[in-house]
Amino acid sequence: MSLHNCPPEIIARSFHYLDAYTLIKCRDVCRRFSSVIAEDSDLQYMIELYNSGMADEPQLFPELSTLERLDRLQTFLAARRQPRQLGESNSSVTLEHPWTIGCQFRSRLFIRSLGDDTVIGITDPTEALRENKKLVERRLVLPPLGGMFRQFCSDPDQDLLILMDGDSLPSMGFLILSLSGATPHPLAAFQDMELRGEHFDFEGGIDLDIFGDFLSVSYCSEMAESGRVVLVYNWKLGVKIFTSTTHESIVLFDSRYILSCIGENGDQYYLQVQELDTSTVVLQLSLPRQTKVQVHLINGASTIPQFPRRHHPRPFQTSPDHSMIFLFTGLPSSSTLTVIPRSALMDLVHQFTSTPLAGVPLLPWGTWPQISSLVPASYQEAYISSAYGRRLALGTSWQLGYTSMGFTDAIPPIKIFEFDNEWITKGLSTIQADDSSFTTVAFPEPVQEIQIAAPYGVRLDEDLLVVLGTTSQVLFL
Amino acid sequence: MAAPATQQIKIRCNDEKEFTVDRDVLERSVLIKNMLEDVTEQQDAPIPLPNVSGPVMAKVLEYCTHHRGEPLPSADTEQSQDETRKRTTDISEWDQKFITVDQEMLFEIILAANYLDIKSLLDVGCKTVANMIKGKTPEEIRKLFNIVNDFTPEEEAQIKKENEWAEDR
Repeated sequence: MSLHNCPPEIIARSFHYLDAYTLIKCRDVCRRFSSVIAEDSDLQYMIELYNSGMADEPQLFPELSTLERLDRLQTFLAARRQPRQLGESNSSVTLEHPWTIGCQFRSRLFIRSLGDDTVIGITDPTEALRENKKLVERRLVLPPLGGMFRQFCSDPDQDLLILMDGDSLPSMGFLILSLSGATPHPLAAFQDMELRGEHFDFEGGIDLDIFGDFLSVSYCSEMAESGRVVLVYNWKLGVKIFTSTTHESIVLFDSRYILSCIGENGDQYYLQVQELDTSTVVLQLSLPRQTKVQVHLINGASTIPQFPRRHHPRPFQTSPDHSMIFLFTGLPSSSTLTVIPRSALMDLVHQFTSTPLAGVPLLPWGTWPQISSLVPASYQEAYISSAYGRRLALGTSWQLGYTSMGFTDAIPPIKIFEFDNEWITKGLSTIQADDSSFTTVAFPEPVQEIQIAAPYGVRLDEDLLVVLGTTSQVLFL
Repeated sequence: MAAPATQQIKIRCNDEKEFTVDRDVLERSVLIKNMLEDVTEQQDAPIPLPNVSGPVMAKVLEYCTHHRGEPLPSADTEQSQDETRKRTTDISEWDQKFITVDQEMLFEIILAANYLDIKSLLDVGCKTVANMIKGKTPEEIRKLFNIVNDFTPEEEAQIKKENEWAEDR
């Protein structure tokens, strides 16, 4: 008598007590074990979940059966294996609606207008600006949205555009579209995901961002001390992964770990690994092309320079938008990763400092995890952090300039709040920039911190190019 | 109506071995419990259990006697147990000692528990199997259970390829 001759239900029952890692081993033992696992959707789901590096929170979507979850997982794992590229634009149109609701540089995408006839323009704004050309736009006519269009985010690597619609929860929903015009998007089935059970207050606007499979939704809430709540979903699974009330601390996302920037030293920055489930971490860095990165695992006080083979980080995917993705397993909970981009940071700083303010170069666009992480030690006085709005701690006599990236005919004025140490508003000024040149605001007195605020509908980090600097030193924000 | 605790029931195993057991001990088995409930009259003939041998039954009865009087899992608790079941392979001390038997006996007990529908004993058995497997390579698992690798070389190559990514992590 052996496990091998037991009825399949006994074998499956025993396997239910295993972790996914061992389960995969069992699958490789013999045909019988393999077929027992293949015929049990719970076991299959465990394996797929493990392979996908995700965690699940069944209680959030109790109506989904394991079989449905498995189906979704397999669909998107297949989609992930075959990333699609942004299609070429075939036609251009002149847009009738004059104003822009938003844009995203990272995805070369912006939305020009909304209403009954919502139009999405797809273009590469950086290219257009560099060449001093008019933007070429491609029109996507959207299917009717369920409610008022709210926000969007996109990921060209996945040929993906996610629109968020609806006026308020629980009617908030997503619409998933293909950037290249393929209809329907292979992942359109996932769009029935709804955000539910969350208290939203849209007074301060809502932001969507997409990081691979993860969708971050941030919004204002009085409940959060920082005034901002960030929720992270795996949008493909419709699973909420993480809630944070401190916007600043989140840099990178993974289903099982949240990495947050906890400090910096010179050109190193430290990422805190917070374990959500078990053994895998995906570290996604947005760095300039060709950047070489050294990653060390620091465990307590001692640095482990060599990862055990299974833990050795290696890029398993590089995407066209500068990001490199590393995958780790078996990291102890609460370990610290040091990420050292060799030379990249200094190069970048040289690029800034060598250029006078008036001719700020266009930099490679990417999602910089946190600008403060990229400021080397010599610029520590120019501590910059990002939160709702932008807060800058300044030395003396800094100048601030901003311009639109070219989507709006009239650039809305932005407001600058100055703060002293005690976070009390010292001054408030409104500046209006010219379309073609930077408006410069000088701060002759030392200012501890400023916050820039733009009208609703303008995303500071996407529509506006904000430059901070002196005549000799320019930092990009 | 509940039978008096002292009622004695006779059972007969497939090797003709007979046991006379207190009814409440035997009712740990949902199978026997249902059989007894279906029978209204007192019967002297032993209940035949054609799938269980004497030595295995003796072991099962040892378990049932130890756990007599404990509440039987209802359908509700079964469901909630299902959710926590996956990772918890903890076995109580007495059960651990009880289940420390050779493999042959272990699987006989599991099969008997399955047939007699004694869920808690089945769980103990399956957890024990899982604990035996944990952390082992496929080759070690084959050795453990005396299993022949029946994959073709092509299938083996395919498996290796599929696992490369996961292995390396």
